[in-house]
Amino acid sequence: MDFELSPDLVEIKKKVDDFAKREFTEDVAYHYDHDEKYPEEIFRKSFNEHIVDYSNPWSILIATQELCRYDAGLGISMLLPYFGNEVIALFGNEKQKEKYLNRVFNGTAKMGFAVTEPGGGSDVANIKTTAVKKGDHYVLNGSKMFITNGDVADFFVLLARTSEEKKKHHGMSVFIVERSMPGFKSNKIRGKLGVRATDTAELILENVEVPEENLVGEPGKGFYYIMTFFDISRAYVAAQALGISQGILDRTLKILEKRGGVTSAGESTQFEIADMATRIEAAKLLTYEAASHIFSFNPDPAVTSMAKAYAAETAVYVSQKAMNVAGIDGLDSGMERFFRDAKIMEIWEGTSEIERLVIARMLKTGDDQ
Amino acid sequence: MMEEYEILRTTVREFVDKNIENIALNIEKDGIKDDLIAKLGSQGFLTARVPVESGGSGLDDRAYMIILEEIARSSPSVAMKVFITNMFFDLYNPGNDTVNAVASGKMNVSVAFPEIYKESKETGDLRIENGKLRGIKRNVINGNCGMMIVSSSDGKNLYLVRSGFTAKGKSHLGIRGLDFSDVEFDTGDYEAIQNRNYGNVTSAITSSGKFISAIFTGLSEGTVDKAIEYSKVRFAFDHPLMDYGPIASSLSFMKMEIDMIRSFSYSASDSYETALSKIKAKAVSVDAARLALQVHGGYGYIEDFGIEKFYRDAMALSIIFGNDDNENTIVSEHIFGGKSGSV
Repeated sequence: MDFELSPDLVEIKKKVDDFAKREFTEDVAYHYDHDEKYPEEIFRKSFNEHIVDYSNPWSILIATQELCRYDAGLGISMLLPYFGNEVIALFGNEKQKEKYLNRVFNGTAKMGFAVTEPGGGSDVANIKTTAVKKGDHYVLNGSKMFITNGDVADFFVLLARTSEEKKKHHGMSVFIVERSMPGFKSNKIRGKLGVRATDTAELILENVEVPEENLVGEPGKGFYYIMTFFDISRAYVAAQALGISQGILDRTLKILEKRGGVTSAGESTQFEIADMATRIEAAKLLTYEAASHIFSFNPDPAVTSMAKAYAAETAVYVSQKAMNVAGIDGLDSGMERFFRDAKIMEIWEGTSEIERLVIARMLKTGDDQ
Repeated sequence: MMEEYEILRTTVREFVDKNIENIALNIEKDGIKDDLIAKLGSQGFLTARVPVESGGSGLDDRAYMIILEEIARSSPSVAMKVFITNMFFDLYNPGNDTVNAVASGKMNVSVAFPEIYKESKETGDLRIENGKLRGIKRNVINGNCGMMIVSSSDGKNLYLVRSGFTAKGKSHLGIRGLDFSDVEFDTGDYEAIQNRNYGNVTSAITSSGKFISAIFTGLSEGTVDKAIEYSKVRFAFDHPLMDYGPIASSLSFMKMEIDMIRSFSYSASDSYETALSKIKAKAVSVDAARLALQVHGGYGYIEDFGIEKFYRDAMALSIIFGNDDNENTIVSEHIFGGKSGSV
């Protein structure tokens, strides 16, 4: 057991920090938040400078954390072009990896992950989008909601129902759907509370013909593929929340520094700062533990869900405490952006309620272990 | 009497449904338009606390609280506008002409709060130079108005400024129906307020604890009621959300908290109870808005559902009304018989 980052990761952390400090200035962050614009130009820079090394999962995790420490909307946007790649990497065939993943990793395409629907967020098995086989292709109909990258991605891994089964989570399959396929439409969703630099859209599928070769893995196994993906991605979301929390604590300490230092702030404030920092440290340990299990191919879904829910709730907790410490000066500063960004952490990729259900179901007694 | 209050509540709720709820999103984006201000004026809301003989509505505490609550259920920004306007007259009534101008929507008045923000080093500086009032007040809610009551930097003197100031609005977290501005003064068109009900803006705000409580209570109830309705119609795993224990009990518990605070605030009579009303209502509001947003899931996070606004407004108002220092002094006196927690 070692609580130190490896020398490689320390170097990566520094590289990401330098990038975020240089690119995510207050003005830039304000601008993309205000305009709800995807930061394509900054993503290009991060791509060219190899800020995120996708061959090393720990590097992704640390980069996620550090990017979000400076700005969540911009930070997450640096990682989003690859969003959902694990589904193809784990369950796709060689041809699909070559045709789609290669383009994502060489920077010529962006992908997205389309599961949630207007009537089903947490209840993944309840999705209504259908895929009906006709000859050598499937015909897809339905709609997807709150799809990250929905308006900018070139293709999506998308969950649809291929057959009606007794158990609802059976009979679902994953497809690679290209934006250019006739019948595919996206409508950008504006007016998000936070992470406004990230792109979100509604997807409409009207008789979209998807070739059979774009079916990922086996038909009927889609639900399991998606859940396996969540078991991985939730560790990264925990890292997002962790980064946001640390960014808020950084800012809070800077504000207190200007007011004469933490120790002159009064004991009540000192206690609050101590609680913020303690929760962040605990969230970090949970996140790294979850990641360590996942990256050694032995995921522990209970720990992953604990990390995700706890880090998310920590982000919201520290965001509220920090706003109170900042007071009136926080209302028009970057602090209020962090406050708005933090809240999505409790919702996306599994609400805290869903995480708690996973945790409760996965717990084992000492005898079972 | 109780019946009259309930009739008033119904009347205000109908007014809000007809004139505010349907444009609540626009208010967030474009501010409170003149025609709505005029309607609030003609209903007597803007001059609710002005005595009848001075041209106002002369409403008692509870009636005024009901108005603030019912408006805040839909738009905390509009409730804040009503509060600030009434506070203006509570601090100083320049005369019936002003009352009439406000009630008819022709004059927009405000009060600058910055002296209560003890935590900030950047509240601005205002001074008298050669008979002119000069300087800047930062972070003023509704600074873009026709007439403003503003205090000197030391908080000792109050001035009514009739013209000669400009508000520079900034983007801000909440209460976006009103501007959040740095206001620059360079004017001879002002008067020093001598005979006044309160020593300064801070004591006026502290004395208004019940009314501030009403705004927070209305906000909390507005957002939680929306979540309760949503929990009846949104299904997950073949059941409406209200069928799930954690969601049902969180919403019920929050609703009970709100109901307790509301009934307590109505009967609050001394400074301790007034302080308690504000502290409790404020503490619940951010939690209420967070819960309501969470129940709505992704839909809560986008503006169309009118939920995320409450989360921003609850946090913003918690700050705008100042930290609870003054209230805590009162509470401390009541509980410890003197100053406490001062190390």
